[in-house]
Amino acid sequence: MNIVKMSFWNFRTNLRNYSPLFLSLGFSVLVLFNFLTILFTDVFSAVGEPDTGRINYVIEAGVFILGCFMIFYIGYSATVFLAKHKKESGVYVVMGLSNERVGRLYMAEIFMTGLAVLVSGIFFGMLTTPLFQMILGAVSDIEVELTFQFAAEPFFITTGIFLLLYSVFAVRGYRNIVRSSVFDMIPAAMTRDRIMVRPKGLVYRTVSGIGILSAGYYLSVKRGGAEAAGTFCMSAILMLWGIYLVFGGLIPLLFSSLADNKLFLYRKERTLWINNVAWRMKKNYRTYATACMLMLCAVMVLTAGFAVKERYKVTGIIADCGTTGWIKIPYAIAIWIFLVFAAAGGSAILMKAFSDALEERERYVLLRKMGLDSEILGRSITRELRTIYICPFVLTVISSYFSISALEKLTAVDLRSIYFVSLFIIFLLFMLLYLLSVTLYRRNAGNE
Amino acid sequence: MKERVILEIRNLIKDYGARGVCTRALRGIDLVIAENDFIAVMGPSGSGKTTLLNILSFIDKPTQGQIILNGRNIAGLSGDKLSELRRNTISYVFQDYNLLDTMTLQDNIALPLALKGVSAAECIRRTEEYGRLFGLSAQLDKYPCQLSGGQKQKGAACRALVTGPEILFADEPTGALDSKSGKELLTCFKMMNDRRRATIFMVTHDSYAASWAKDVYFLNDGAMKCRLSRGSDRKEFYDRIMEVQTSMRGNFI
Repeated sequence: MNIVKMSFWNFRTNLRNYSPLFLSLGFSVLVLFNFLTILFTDVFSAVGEPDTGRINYVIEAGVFILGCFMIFYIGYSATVFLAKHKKESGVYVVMGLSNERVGRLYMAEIFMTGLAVLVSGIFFGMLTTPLFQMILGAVSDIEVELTFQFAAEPFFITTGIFLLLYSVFAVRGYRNIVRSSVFDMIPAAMTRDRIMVRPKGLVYRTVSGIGILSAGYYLSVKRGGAEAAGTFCMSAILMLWGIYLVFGGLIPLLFSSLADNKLFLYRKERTLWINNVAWRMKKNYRTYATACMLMLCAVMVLTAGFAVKERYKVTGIIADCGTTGWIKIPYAIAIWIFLVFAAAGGSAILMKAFSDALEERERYVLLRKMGLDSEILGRSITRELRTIYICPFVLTVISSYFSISALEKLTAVDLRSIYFVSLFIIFLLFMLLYLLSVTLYRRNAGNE
Repeated sequence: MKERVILEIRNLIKDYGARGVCTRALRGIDLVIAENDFIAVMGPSGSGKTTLLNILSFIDKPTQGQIILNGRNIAGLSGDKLSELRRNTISYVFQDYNLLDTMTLQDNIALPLALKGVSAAECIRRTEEYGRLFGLSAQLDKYPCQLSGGQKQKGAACRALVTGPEILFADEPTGALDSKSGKELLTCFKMMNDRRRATIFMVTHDSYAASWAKDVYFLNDGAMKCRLSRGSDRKEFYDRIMEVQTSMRGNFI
């Protein structure tokens, strides 16, 4: 089998195994393409100057946020992809393939996947352009000329941004594989063993995580002054950093401590699911932290868009300036970015559930051999997965409460309603993911 | 005194495959397992050892025949009923340890007890007691990835015996172990059989492992060919096992 055939074979498997990740990446390409289409066509020409310019300015900001998000998310996807690929690379190298050849195989695979994501993102972006503009118009009360207008620039810019970011991470992965010795690659398949033992730095991450998150919360409730905007940004950064550390420290430490307390642990299937949660929290903390951070960003973007809309309504700038509904555009853009972030966060968790469910199939075969019936296994699975989803959700609820308080002070707008709406949407998304994960696990455990 | 019969199989037949391409793995096996027995079943590859073990331990169902557990025929019971029997009546030791890698050794041993609703304090007491009996006290707080093969298999045996099952089924328990670890495990089995009256049913291809049992059955082409019983001397028993094995000329792996 030559390298092209092999990479094509792997590419097909990857599309299946990483479908949630690629779907959300494709969705972000779709939204980016649609933002750019608005910029380069005269969809909002009916509002006239200077509003068209203002709308373009807001959309450019949206493109910038999406671009930043894509740097982060393509980087995250490439890391997930590389970790999985390194396990296989070790086997290929042992079989006699050179590191360069294995690296090229990785590059070929990652580019095939990237092209598939890009082409489908742009294709569906084109199909959904009128729908996208209609929704944007409806949310912002702006008259939109619905035509299938396409410009060349959105194609080139979307392709350019995506391929540039993708190439950077593909080359980084290639260099990583080429420079790795086979001894580095084989242990990549054995990280599971190392995870079991209490990881180093757990206490350090716990203490610093609590400290940094508390500092973020404190800054968000601190009285705003001349530097209120700066304090708000600082509190948001500290919260995101703190969330990452809390997932890497406090939460695994908490469940490990519960597992260490045998008087608490040895109660029916609790023995099973608490240990599994402790293991999963140690193993997947980056994913859960990423999902939680994305959800927090989603809520912040949506509430910020809403705040801008309400702020102008309250202060009556519309009337003063004689403008129409352009100031609702940030809100409409924020809704799309909210959806991109929420989909990305959700797919990160779901993808982990996919791979974990496959990985744990043998464990459930063993448990069934030991005589655990569907009822016991079902109870253990639902409790375990419920806990896994509750942790990022609770942290999102608490952290977004503080960030919204800060935003309320900054804009003097009541944001409670949009806060509850955004959390309700995230709750529904988490419920959906939870039910999907339970189905996956039950199938693997032979319960269905 | 005659021991109480725990499990009895009569005319057990097992077929695999669909109509037309049917393979008969077991051809009318009769066997009685009484309390405090230590039985080893030997046979060449493909002789039906694992099939027999899976049926006896309620993992697989026979095509025909009776399985009588404590005087009750259980051949037609549903999957969940069989799970319940497996949980409450028997235990299993696998060749590849099969400890749950997300738990410490102590949690692995405690799991079947906790699932039965035994109090947490009693779970702790019994896991520590079995840890001592099997020489694993210092390893109880370790994860499977931190243990040697021999320690893992002794841990698996602890987990299987801690609930006091009516029968312990062992599938090639020394298959993945070096000779020293294998001997340690067999010593533990013998100790449990002698001191705690544990009933053990073991499938093995290893004559040395089989020589630790009280009775050895030889299976070939899905049928029981002969049975040997141990006297007082294990070495002499080992020689007799080797003779039968040589005469059968099968591939004993």
